[in-house]
Amino acid sequence: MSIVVQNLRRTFGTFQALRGIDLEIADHQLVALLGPSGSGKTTLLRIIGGLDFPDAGQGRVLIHDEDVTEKPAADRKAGFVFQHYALFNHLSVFENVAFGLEVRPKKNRPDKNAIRDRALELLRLVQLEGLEQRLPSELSGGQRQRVALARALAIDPKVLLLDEPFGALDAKVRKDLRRWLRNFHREIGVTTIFVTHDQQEALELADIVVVMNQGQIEQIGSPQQVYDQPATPFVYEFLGDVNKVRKPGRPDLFYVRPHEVRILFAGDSKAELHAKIEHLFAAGPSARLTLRLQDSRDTLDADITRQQLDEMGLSEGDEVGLQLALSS
Amino acid sequence: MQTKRPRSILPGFGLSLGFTVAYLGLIVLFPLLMVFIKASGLGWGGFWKTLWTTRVLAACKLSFGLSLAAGLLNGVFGLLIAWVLTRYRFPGRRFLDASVDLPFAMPTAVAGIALTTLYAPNGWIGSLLKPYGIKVAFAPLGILIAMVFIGLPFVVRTLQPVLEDFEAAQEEAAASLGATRWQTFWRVVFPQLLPALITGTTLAFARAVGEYGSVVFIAGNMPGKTEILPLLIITKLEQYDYSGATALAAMMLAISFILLFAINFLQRKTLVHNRS
Repeated sequence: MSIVVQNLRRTFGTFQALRGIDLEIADHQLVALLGPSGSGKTTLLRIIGGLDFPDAGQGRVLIHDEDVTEKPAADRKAGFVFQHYALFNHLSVFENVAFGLEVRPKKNRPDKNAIRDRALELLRLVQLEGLEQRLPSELSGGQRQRVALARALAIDPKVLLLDEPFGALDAKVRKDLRRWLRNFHREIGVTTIFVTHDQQEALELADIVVVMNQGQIEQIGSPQQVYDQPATPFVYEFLGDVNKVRKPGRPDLFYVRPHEVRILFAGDSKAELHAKIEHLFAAGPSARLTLRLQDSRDTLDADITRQQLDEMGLSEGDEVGLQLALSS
Repeated sequence: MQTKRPRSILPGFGLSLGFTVAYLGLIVLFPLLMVFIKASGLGWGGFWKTLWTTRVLAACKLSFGLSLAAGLLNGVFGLLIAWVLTRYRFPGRRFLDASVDLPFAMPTAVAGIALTTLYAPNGWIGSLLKPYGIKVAFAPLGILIAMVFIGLPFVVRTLQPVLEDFEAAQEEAAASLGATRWQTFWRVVFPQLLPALITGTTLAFARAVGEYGSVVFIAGNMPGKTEILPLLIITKLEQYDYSGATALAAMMLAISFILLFAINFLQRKTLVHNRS
């Protein structure tokens, strides 16, 4: 196991940031810590990296089977990448990347040429060759984050920890960098954990998604598992769009994703519910309908194909029948 | 419509620049220029004759030498104090923080009298040092202490905002890359504090050069030994030697200007690296 976390607790004053976290991460995996703000995901990452510590005696952290709970960050060899890059503003790109090698004690510090070669190799790896003499202030956000990544990799980290690595970037760069990181991870193979509150990012990028809420882990699984078989209502709601529906005459709530709602003609005998199309938005291959349920104040969203929309000739104000592929 | 110069959304450039130039000219540059005009009445020969005396040269060395030392001392300890005041939370912090400004707030003569009382051979501290043959009051060391006293706030107050704004993540990044606390300070934090540190030290130095009130009490004012330049100027004025006084003033101004200019240049060089 690359990283093992056992029964970890962390309290800030009276706020319980982490309430008993257990987590095991196998080698070479790309893991997403996903959750809303305040769920404890960043705190967990920082404790793994040695930038924060659990409450006294409350839990253990193991990296490559070595208990590092009490070790300071400097001795963990955990590469950390920060949301706002945290590059050293006064050092060039090259000096930033070389930093982790330059600060080694003399006896295991590579010589100047070796450091130079390694730094340049890493800059090539993150596709920033030729920019080594620039200052961080002269780079774009995406470039800065790649410098931060190269800097973290220079120390040959046992694990790579990324704290909302794309959080400060605009949507387009975010998307590009996400794809790039996916391939990059495949290439270097270092066990990587990244924190995000963006479910899309987590599902698209990670091998394993760890969904967190209020200092606890709600579910651990592959993107498909957490999306298709959510373990808790929280996971259901947090991952992807979901409708909460109360069927007439029944007290319990049902969760149903918009694409699981089947639209039928109003007179269809298979219809379980009846509703009126309140709003219709069609762009791209699918159309989104906002439906108001009959005899109810609830609305729900449904996604259907453009083809179905055209074939049925639906428009706003129409009555339709619904069939729900109810999940729970 | 065509505009002749690039349009800016900040209005009033012409007006505010005009005001700035006029104001600085009237308040700072013009009075200083008068010093040079007045001193030029002496002619080069008279000028040098006034300045090139052992008494003036000794005062010159004393004033600039001690001011430089005071500036540097303030640089070191001011940084330490600013660090402690911004980095740590402890009882009494606010009180300490407020006390940093005291040298600004009180009349310098009061500081001079207080320091002299403490460091005089029969004072509380002076009497402790006397057995070891260390003389503070009425010696250059006393002047240095007065200069350090009045210059301290400059360093602390210029460094504090920079330290407070310093991105904690940079230090965490350094730690995660394997740097020790010491390496993190020297390689990451200190270089980025340097521009502010130079500014603060320069201000403290400049203040020390011009300081009169607190120094004259503790200095003893022996010509050639503990006589500072500003005092020499006053002495000349009291003897109605106006042109001699302005000659001294002109020289002081010139030296100060060159030094400040050099420091500014140095500071700009460190600053280029830090723009983010």
